[in-house]
Amino acid sequence: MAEQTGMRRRPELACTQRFTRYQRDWFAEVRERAAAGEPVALLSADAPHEIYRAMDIPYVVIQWWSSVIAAKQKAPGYLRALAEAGYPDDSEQYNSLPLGELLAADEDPPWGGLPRPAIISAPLSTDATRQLFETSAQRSGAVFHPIEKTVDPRDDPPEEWWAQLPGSWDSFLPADRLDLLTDELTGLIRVLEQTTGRRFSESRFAEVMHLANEQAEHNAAARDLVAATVPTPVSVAETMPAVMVPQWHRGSSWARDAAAEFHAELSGRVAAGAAACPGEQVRLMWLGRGLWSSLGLYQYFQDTYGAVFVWSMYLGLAADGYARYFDGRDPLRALAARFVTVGDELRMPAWSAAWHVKEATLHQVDGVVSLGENDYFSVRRLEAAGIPVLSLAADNVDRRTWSEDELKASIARFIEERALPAAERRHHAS
Amino acid sequence: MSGDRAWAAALRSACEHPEAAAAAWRAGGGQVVGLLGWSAPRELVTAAGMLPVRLSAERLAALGPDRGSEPEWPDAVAAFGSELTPATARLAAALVSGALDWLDFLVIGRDREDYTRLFYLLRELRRGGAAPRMIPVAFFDLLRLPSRTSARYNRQRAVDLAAVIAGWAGRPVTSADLTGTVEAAGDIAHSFRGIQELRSGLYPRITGTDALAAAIASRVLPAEKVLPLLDAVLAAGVPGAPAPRARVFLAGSAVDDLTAYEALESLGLAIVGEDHEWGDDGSEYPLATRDPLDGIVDRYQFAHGGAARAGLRDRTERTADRVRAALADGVLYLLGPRDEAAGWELPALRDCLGAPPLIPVRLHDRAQGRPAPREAARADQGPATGGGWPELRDAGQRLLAELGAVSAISDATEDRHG
Repeated sequence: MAEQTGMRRRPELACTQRFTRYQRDWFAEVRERAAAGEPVALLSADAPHEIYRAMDIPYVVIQWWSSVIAAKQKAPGYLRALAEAGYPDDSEQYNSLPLGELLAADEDPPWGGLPRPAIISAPLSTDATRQLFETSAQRSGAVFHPIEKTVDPRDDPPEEWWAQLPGSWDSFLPADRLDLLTDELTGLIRVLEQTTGRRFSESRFAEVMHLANEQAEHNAAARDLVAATVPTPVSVAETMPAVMVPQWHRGSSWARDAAAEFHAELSGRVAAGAAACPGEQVRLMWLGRGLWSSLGLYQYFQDTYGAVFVWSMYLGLAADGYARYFDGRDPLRALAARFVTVGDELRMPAWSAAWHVKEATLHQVDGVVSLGENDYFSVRRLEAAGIPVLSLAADNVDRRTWSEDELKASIARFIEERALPAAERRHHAS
Repeated sequence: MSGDRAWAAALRSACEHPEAAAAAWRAGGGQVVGLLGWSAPRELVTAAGMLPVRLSAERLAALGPDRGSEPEWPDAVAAFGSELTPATARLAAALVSGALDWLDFLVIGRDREDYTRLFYLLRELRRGGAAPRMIPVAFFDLLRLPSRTSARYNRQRAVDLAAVIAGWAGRPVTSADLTGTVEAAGDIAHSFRGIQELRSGLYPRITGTDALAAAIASRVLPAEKVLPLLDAVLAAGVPGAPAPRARVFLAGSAVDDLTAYEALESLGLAIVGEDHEWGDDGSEYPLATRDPLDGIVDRYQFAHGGAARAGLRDRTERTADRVRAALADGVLYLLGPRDEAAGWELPALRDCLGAPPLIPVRLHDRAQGRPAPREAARADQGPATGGGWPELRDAGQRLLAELGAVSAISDATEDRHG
């Protein structure tokens, strides 16, 4: 059976192509380092990369690699390989595709293939995370370092995390959650020192944390520019790769400078009056994971309806989710404060719904498309704020759960029936 | 398995009517705490002088409106389905509407992330003023990694939960209270070890259905009521039962429906053990420790529990040990419709087990109604007792076919017993 192919995006920024080239060169270097015997880590997106960065242990992010697999249209075959080995092919697809690649023994894997990891690490944020990555570790010969994921137990957690966490994380978050993760990270550093022979430098680590904070500042500036500019200078088809490639290098000078470059190019486009869709009529928000294998789908609605997806969580979180200033405080505890909340921003409704409304309002959106999300409260609060929502059940990297034709039809109907009227109200009001 | 089976009726009644047990307790002036999940620590509730009653979201969802599962939110699944599984969505609706009015309080354990989301949802509805009739709810954030850092965190969470429960009870929870409840749990576990021995003997003297009923009832009834019933179970196990056609072990996802066990036993299978969270072989209970909270926390942190959030190697090795100890001829591996973790354990368990056949069984979702018509039609061809679980009877028949001649099985089992 022929694999389905996705819709390619039209480039909107020059910097993204440079970032993508950098990513290819970097990945080739990781493969070379692995071939030379260096330990390579396979890390979840919500694992504390900064420790590995500080110790110069090369790492690949599981979900990024899954998105590469999906973009190369390899996901169906790798899911089949999982099923043939007796594993679920309908669970944790975003995390299980690298295992599927290993089992498939593909002779033509994306970008030459994922090097065999020596280390796998992920927080235990889903029911199957531990079994899945223990399995991956057993199959690949790696060591799995699980990290606990705690739950905010407070009766009334304060909502404005985006405003409080960067500077006041130590008073905003429950101390015992921070204590636990700080202790776990302390133990992880010791284990990594012993197993890899690398030294953890406190000075180097502090610098990594500063660079990550500076990167977040550039991303926040870029986000604010997109939010305030009508028509938007760029769509999510561009911001997703433009933000996420540097995000996987968070804590490096290159990533900080790339974020600055991204912001600078956006500023130039705004100054020149350049727009993703000069005839912009409707501004849309995309809730949930991105359609990495079909980024051009986002731009399809620019051509057909003048509807532009201006927001995705990728730039939103890059702007609001990472900065943790630690002047005079323990940078490792600041790192714990960065990761103890990862996922809460998106899936703990006390936080996620409030944030989605804040971001939707900031970006002047006329409608929200939500894919595969736990979105009950976000939908209610967005709708209550006059912002219509279309909820779709699908898994972003599993094409058996969606097709371009179905998405085009559903989103087109939503634009016609709900988002366009909302846009007209916005135009009248402005 | 003969003679007066009044104990069996009492156990079954407790399983199927937890609200009746709660009503009896409340009639005496007591308060009832619903426990959602195996990891909600019942010992803390007992120590506060209240009755812990473990809830089954799946059971409540399957029961229908007369038991409060379809109250004023008939569209519960549509409303909360993006957040929760259908059964948990219906439980949420029942809680929000006040339909589960036989409970005074609720403790949610972090068995699976569906329950974490339930806690989030209930908290958010309360914060938004949408649940004025909902009972007070607490969450127990149990961590399962076998590390000191997790153990320290779990102790802090247990201390916090004990304080909440003490507030509900209006009395302090003392060390002496906790020690007493640990001792009672030890007594119950002793009885379950005896039951496990009788059900897994060469000629099983207690059925799997009765053993499961006892295990569920012990999560519903107060200790002073359940202990005499367990004594009766042990006394009822008489010699002379016929050899089963085959001995089966149930692994994987949890099932708390007695008719599921009956469906298999009606085929002549003996269910000689299980590793799911509703069963009880008496091996897990809080040990006596200087600070009784230590023993209680350890009992949960290191429990076999469910597959969700558990470690792969730990669970598969322990399951394989239980299969061997029960001298099972084969394993039925249950895959619950919403259990994402169990499927990841299956290949590892197969490797770990070696010889005995292992048959995966994909269970239908009780919260979403009856099995598909094709399955229901097949069910009509079998014994009447197993009408609700055609997939289990189908798997049981496949297991029997795979095991081959009945006499050969019996001989092999006898050999293993020496």
